[in-house]
This record gives sequence, structure tokens and C-alpha cells, in this order.
Amino acid sequence: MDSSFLSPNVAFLLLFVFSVLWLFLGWWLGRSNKTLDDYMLAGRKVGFALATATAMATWVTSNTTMAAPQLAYQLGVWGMIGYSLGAIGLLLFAPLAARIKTLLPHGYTSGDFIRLRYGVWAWRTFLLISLVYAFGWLISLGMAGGVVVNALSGVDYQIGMTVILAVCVGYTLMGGLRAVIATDFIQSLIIIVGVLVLAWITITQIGFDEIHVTLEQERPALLNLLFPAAIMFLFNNLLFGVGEIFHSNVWWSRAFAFKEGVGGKAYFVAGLMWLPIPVVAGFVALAAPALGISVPAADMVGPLVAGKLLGGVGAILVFIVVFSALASSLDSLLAATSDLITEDIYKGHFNKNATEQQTQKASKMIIVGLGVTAWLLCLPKISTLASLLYFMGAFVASAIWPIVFGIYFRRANGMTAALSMLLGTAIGLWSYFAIGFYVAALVSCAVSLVVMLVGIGLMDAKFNFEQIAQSKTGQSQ
Amino acid sequence: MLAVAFGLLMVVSSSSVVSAAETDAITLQASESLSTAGYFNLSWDKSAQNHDFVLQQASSRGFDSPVEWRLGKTASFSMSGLENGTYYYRVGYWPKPQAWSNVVQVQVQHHSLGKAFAIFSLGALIFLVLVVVILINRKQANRGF
Repeated sequence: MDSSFLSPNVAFLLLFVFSVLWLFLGWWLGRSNKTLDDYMLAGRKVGFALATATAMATWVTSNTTMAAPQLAYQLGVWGMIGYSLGAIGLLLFAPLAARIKTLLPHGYTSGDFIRLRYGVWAWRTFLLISLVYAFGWLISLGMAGGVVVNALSGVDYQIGMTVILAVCVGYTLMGGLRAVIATDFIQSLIIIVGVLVLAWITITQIGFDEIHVTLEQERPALLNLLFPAAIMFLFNNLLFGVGEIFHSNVWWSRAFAFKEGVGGKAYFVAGLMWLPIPVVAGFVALAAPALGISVPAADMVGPLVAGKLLGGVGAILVFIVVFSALASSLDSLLAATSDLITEDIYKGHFNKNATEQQTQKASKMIIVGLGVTAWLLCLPKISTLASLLYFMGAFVASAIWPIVFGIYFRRANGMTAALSMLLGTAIGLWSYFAIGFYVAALVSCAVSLVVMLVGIGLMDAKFNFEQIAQSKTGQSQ
Repeated sequence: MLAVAFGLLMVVSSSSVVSAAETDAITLQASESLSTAGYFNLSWDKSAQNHDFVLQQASSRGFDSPVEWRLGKTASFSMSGLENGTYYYRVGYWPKPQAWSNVVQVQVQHHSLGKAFAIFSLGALIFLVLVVVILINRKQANRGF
């Protein structure tokens, strides 16, 4: 990137200021953590305002602020609208969150539920899917950090990515979920204000007419409401979002952490608040041709438009918004994935009688390990953000039906759940390469549904839900 | 498994080089020779210290009435939003290239609308089933186990 909007010195200053802020908050908020429940689940006492903010801020990721513009740039009007359908995942998780809290009042992870509901093999299949997704998301977040710093300031991709990963690991390590949720509140305010300012300036400085005319001449397919790939993408993105939220421990750990009666309302309101953000963030990308911006890689389009429109001020704004969005998701993902590995792999497979101190120590070491592994995988920039992200769709969408049937139906059984996840993932991956990234989640979800229905029809299982509530979670059966 | 999964992502489709280069100064490549969604990436092997690049797009190999973009000093360009057709590209140094790169041909052939709506309908059906299952069972679940 040659024509940088920010000098490297300003970029480093911003990185420093926000790094110190997040690290300080992590340390400060983490002082009151006394027990494992405090560290991993913020004492299970999170109220409505913080619960809503953390759900919204975590779902506004760098992918929302960076990949939504990319999808608008590649798939046009339907790209940004399709991305906003990711809100449906939060809305539909609202009733599930309430049910999860009832079924598993002392649970720690999504893995706890799958193990107790379906048994060991479905649990292991689920863990594999969860970990592939968690690493994919971590990598996409780390990559986004490097991309935005590079796009705006010309600072090397590796440097930006390293600093952002290190800061998020640092404050998650110090503060646990309490720090994650509290910083999410501040970050969500920054994100909403920043994105709205940017969209308003785009509209007032260029205007709809000029954007429309340029697109019609140079990129006509972006305005085409019958754009085939974009039409395929709509429900794919919706189901991808549903799969991400339904299976990921990021959302389950919050359901456990929220006060009784808060989860359902918090997820519903967060979904409504999140809905317009990708449309607003994506819209700015459509201004790129009108502004004569040459976009070297599609995932750089958002920062480039902001920088071009507002120069240094716009670049600083985008920098702060993306850094906040990145931090709010990275910390949540690190905390939730660490919980999953600690509870389901360390305690579940290797040290079933671990004490609370041993578990807390293991949890911290796992956060560092996750950060280092993500850093190593981010070093070679292997793909664009959207391509990497939607690769994960084949994995996560296969878990939707096993979870929904597992939560509500007695007849769903472990073997069927494991098979539906495996076959859904395999055929979803095939479709990713054979057709395109915009169908992988949809195909995976469809295959998984068919397998679940056949399995339920063939096997006459009768699960007793009370046995989950009565079980002692955190220990292998 | 994870390594295999990410390794698959690194597979890059080959570019299509149509004609021999007028000069081998710049080698232009496209991320794919057949695009089914109207977007692809163009990249070249030179980075300029003092000159911007210019990229031309035309619908014929002769580059009659080309569309032209001044690109700055970056060595790649993300194209999107193209309708069905065959497009030709070449890159050179701004403002008047003494020599152009090789010519790259990319064919844009969107998926058929029939296929798109079939997949759309499948997605809509699954979504509808999901909403109905959750809403019906939510009421029952509220009454206990």
C-alpha cells in the first residue's frame, strides 16, 4: 500500500493508546475475580444492559466492519443485505438461551450440553467442529487487524496483526469474562457511533446519484437484484450466522453468565441493534468506484473508502472502530474457546479431578496458547477475509440441527447427531469448492437436517432432559 | 484435519494468459480465468517506486475503446460487478506505457438463475422449518422439561 492515509507514527500512537486502555481495563476489572465462576463466567450475574452490549459488540466483529464492505463490493446490494441477515442468529438464539439456562443451570460450555445430551462421540465431533471454527474466526480477526493497519498506514500486515493479538490476549488473561463483557460495552458504543458517522459522511459527500451512476457504468452486476451468486448467498449467510451462534461457546458461555431471565431478552435486543450495522458498513464500499479508488484486495475496501473520504480523520475513525470491533470479538473468542478447551479437553479428557486452581491456571495457559497459535496461522495471509470466513460455514451449519433437536426433542440421539455433523461438514466443504463460498453453509445445513430426520425416524430414543439438569457439569460422565 | 482444511484454502486457480507479452517487463495474472460471480483479482509481479500503474479493460484483444484505471503503486486490483462476457486486461506504467504487460483474458459466466433460485428456495425452506421448530417448541419448553 503506497498512498497511506495515516503516517506510521500516528498508527503506532493509536495502537499504543488503545492497547494501554484495554490492558488497563483488563487488569482493573480482573481484580475482583475470586473463583473459577468469576473468571470464566463473570460470577453468573451479568445484567440486561451489559448482556445486550456484550452480545451486540461480540457479533460486530472485524468481519462486520471489514467483510461486510467486501461482500457489498463483490456481491452488490444483496451482499450487504445478506450480511445483515446474520442478525437472525442472535434473534433465534434468544429462546434457546433461556432453555439452555433451564436445562443446564450450572453448565460452563456448549460441550457440556453435547456430552450430556448425546454422549462421547457426538461430543468429540462437536469439539472438532468448534475448534476448527474458533481457529478460523481467530485467524480472520488477526488477519483483519493486520489488513486494516496496513490499508490505512502502510505499516506491515504482520506488525499490526501481532500487536492486536497480543493486546487482546493480555487483557483477556488479566480480566477473564468480566473484563471481556465490560470492555464490550465501551467498544459497542464506539462501533455504533463510528459506523453511523462514516455512513453519514459518505452520503453527504458523494450522494446516492453519483454512486448509482458509476456503478451502473463500471460495475452493473452490483446493482442487479437478480445477481445469481448474491441470491444464493442470502440464506447461506443467514444459516452461517445461525450455525456460528448456535454452536459456539462464545454464545453459550454468555447464556450461562447472564442472570436468570436476562439471556432471551438480551439476545433479542442485541439482534435488532446489530441488524443495520452491516448495511451501513457495507454501503460505503459501493462508493469505491465513484471515488476512483483502486482496491488491491476486496477486504481492504472499507478502510480505503473511509480514508479517501475523510483523509486522516476518516482513517483514524476507521482505525478506532475496527480496533474496537476486533478487540470486542477477539477477547470473547479467546475467553470462550479457552473455557471450551479447559472444560472439555483438559478436564474432560486429561485431568478429570483437576482442582479449581489447576483449572484456572490451565485456562490462562490455554489463552496464551490460543493467541500464539492464531499468530502463527495469521503470519502467511492465506486468503481474503470473506473466503476464510465462509469456509467455516460448512463446519458450523452442520451443528444447527443437532443442537436444536437436542435442546427440544427427546427422540434425537447421539449417533445421528455425530453423523449429521460429519456428513453435513463433508458435503458442505465439497460445495464450497465445487460451487462457491456462498453455498457451503446452506448445503451443510440441508444435509445435516436430512440425516437428523432419518436418524430420528429410524431410532426410537427417549431422552430424559431432567438428567442433564441433575448432572454435575464439568466432569466427564 | 485443521491443517488439511486450511491447506485446501491455499489452492489458487490458474490464470489464463492469452497472448505473448509485448515485453516481459510486467507479468499480469488473474486469480481465475472463469468467474461465476463477476469478481476476481488481478495481480502483477512488479512494484513501482516512482510511477503509478494503469490498468486497461476491453472486450476485445485489440483493446479498442478500453476502460482505463489509474491504480497507484499497488501490484494488484480487485475487480467486481461484471456482467457476462469476455474481458481482456493489460497493465503498464502511468501515464503512457512504453510497453504493456501480457494480456490476460477472464470470462465471466454467472450461475444460471434457475440454479440460484433453487438454492435460494432450499435456504428459505430450511429457514422456515427452523423458525417453526423453535417457536413451537419454545412454548412447550417454557412449561418445563
